Amino acid sequence: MSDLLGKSTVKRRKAAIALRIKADVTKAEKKELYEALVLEENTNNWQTKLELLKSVGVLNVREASKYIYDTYIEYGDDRDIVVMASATAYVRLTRKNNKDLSVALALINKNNYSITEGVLEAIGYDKMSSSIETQNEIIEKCFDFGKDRGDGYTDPRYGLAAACAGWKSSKVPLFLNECLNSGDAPLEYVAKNSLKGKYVKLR
Amino acid sequence: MENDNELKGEGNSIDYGARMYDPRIGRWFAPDPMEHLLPSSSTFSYANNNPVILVDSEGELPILPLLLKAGAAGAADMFLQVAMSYYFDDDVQDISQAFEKVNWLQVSRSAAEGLIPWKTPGGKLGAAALTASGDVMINATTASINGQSYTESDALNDFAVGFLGSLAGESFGELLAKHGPKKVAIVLSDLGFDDQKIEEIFTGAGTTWKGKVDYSDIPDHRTVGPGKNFTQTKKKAIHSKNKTANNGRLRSDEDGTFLNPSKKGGNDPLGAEVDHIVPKSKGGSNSSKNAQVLSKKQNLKKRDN
Repeated sequence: MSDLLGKSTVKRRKAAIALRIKADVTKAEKKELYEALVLEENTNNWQTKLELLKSVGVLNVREASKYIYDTYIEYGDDRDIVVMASATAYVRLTRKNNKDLSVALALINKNNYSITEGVLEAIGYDKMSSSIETQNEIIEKCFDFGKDRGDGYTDPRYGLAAACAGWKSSKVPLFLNECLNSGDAPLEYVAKNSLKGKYVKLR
Repeated sequence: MENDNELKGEGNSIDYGARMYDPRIGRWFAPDPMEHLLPSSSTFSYANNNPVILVDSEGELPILPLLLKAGAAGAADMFLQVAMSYYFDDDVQDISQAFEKVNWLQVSRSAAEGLIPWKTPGGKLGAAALTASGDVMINATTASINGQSYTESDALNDFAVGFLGSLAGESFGELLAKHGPKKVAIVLSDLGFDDQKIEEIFTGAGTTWKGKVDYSDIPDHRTVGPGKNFTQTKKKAIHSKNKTANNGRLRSDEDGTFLNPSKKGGNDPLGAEVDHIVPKSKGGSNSSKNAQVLSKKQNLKKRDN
């Protein structure tokens, strides 16, 4: 039995991270990753859940998509960051390709802060794009997203601003200029580069 | 000195105890019983004909009241030191050993303080400053005699302790009663005295604390994000700002508890830690706006909740 299914939560977490950065992952390892995610459900180790969800999304463990939706997106979790990571993973697992934003849009329409932020992260990190109409719709829905957040949070439009580097919608400059005045250092940095059409290394 | 039979006859004979005095002529009726100590003076004149400076309260030997006060202060200090050594110093077995431990420079200082006029310029604060200056002088001299270094920082610290200690005698009680401990503590803190000492000795826990420090002016790096840890650089900047805002001391942003510098892997419950106000698990970021300094104990308690 590998560390992924072991008793130590630290080892499970480290195994999930190690698998994520591994070049080629076998089917057996993907299956084990999914099993580990299911086993983690009833524990209180949110950091391990987080790493497992990230790995499941990045490694495209498609069989986990329904479980993630039912367990974390529909039902939710006390830890917002877990919900956010599950949304990111779900978008990655269910899209047909990088130009398919239908699932992302459906999740944004749920009007849940953590889910929307997670979806925008997936769009930004994976440089996703779509038709001009879908771009417009997402920008419109997220133009003021997170403006009423508390002091402890960073601007959740970060992922969207990063993705805008490759978007051609006429709403992009207006949105990015709005981001430039957000007072949020990471968002201003990506918005500035996206205005020039440059993708940057994200945080 | 007053006696029951102070006035004699028609009020022209006053009994001072050792002999009688006639105020009409300003002379004693009898010679001074201690005349052998003053061979060059008239033994019938009151206070050696200098009643402004000298007093002769008993009719025996005119004296300088300030000198008497100085002597008494010096003696009191000496006996206090002897008593302290005798009762608290484990190396001291008998009184003679206790006398050997007396710091005569300190006794001299106390005696010199006895010479301070009753009305010191600057009132109680002036008197306290004078006492504190005496402390600095005596400690600097002692250090010099013992071949030890005595820095400017030592002098400032001794002055602060002496100043507060002197005020504590009587004036401080009045200040506290009049203005309340919080205000007095803040004033002393603003004057640069050590906050921890002010609270421990005089005004009580939390009285010098000015509230949670705002760290939002510490610039954020472009990599700050949800669920991330504070970098070492940011932690240092936050600790530094906390100390600056708290008069050089690390204090908890929750209740003003004095904290110790944290050590990696240390278990000190009062070790300072930089905490996420909005927890990482709730999507809280490692932005300066989301930072607060807590003790390890407070941080663990928060984690439990």
